[in-house]
Amino acid sequence: MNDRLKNAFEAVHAESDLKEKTSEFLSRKTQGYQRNRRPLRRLVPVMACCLLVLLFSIGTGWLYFTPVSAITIDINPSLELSINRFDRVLSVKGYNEDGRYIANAVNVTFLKYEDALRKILNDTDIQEHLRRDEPMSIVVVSPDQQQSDKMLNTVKSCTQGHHNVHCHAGNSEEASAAQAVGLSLGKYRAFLELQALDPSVTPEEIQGLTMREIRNRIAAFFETQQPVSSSPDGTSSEQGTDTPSSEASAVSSCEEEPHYGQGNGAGQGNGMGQGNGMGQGNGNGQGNGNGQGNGNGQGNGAGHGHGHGNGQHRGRNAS
Amino acid sequence: MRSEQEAERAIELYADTVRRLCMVHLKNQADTEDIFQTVFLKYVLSTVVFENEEHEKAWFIRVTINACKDLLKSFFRSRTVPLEELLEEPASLSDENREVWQAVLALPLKYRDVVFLHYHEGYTAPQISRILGKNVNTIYTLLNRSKTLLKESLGGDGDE
Repeated sequence: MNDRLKNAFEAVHAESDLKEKTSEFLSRKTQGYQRNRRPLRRLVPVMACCLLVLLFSIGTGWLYFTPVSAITIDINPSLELSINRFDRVLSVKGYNEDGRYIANAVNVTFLKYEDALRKILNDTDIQEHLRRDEPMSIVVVSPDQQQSDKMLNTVKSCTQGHHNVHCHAGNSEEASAAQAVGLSLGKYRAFLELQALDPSVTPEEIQGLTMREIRNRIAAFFETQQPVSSSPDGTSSEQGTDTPSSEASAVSSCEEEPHYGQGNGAGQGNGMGQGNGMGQGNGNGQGNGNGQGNGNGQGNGAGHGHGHGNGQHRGRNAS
Repeated sequence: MRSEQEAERAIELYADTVRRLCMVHLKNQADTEDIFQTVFLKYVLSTVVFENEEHEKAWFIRVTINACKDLLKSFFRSRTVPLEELLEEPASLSDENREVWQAVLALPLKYRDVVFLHYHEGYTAPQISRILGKNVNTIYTLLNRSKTLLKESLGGDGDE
């Protein structure tokens, strides 16, 4: 039986046709037995996928890491937060020594800007400045009006508890101009205000000043420009009631135009005469005694205040 | 990947063995062609280093049997053809051989590999157990049963 089986198996051979077909198939399938083509071709879709993933991540990274808006905070430390389109803080830049210190001390990178702002407002240095009631200016800059409004509202709500904090929206031209002179936007605005009054001010001077100091300088400038105007106003209006040309006299006290005053005063002169008679107006009495010295009388009056007024009242009553 | 020369040599050496195994398992020419292509392509692409020809042959047997089983598993129903059709294929078979083949193919599938490996290739039970990945005792049992069945169908003359 063994032999029969063996013979039967032996009788079967692979047909030459079958062998040829197999050889052809192998040659076709391996592309003429070339080693490298297949793996390379197999790599094409893999590489395409990698490329897509790479492009996608570059695109997302670019979107994420491009700052589109900014918030500047000025009190003494000047800070600027760069914010991306997903409302995340990308970086914090300090514009002066204090600002740089806080920028390093407070880690707010990649936080939502409202959280970052809260964190900065809670910083001990900033708290110290706020406690001293120093004015804080927060300026929001965004190219998109809607976004800018939204951010401004959020910032306002963040700073609600602090009464001396001023929030504004700025535009990008302003921001770049501020950057060009090396000031944060809040300070730059204050600088422009001051520069309008005093053209000799330079950004370098401003850099070292606190917001309060800048405000003080602006205020001081106003004071020197417009001297004690309130008290003589009161008196002059009373004068006005006395004379037919009351407006003119009021103006004269404010704007220092003595000629008008004189003209009107002439009418009053009579009254003044009486006033003198009263002997009240110490210095005035002398000046006015002649009745003509009204112009002077008024000029002085601005300086002296009440003494003068009383004299006039009398005059009126008499008349 | 192996060279064209290696592939040609393998076809020359092992085509008959593969063909016989195909015949043990399959029932038509198209399937046999499929198996040839699968087995030799696998050989060309494989990086297996063979220790000797015996090792290589055993590899071919193992791969062919697996390929046949895979094919049967996937296309069993759609590709099954009657026995008669199969036996028309090797036209060169004599009546004597045809009778033997019919007896072999009448065996259940699990006996056929063992019969082929033992009676034609001359492997012992332990060798067959290694090639097929089965227990040696299982192979002994399969061999004994197939021997009994073949004796019945072919007539019990001169066993060993």
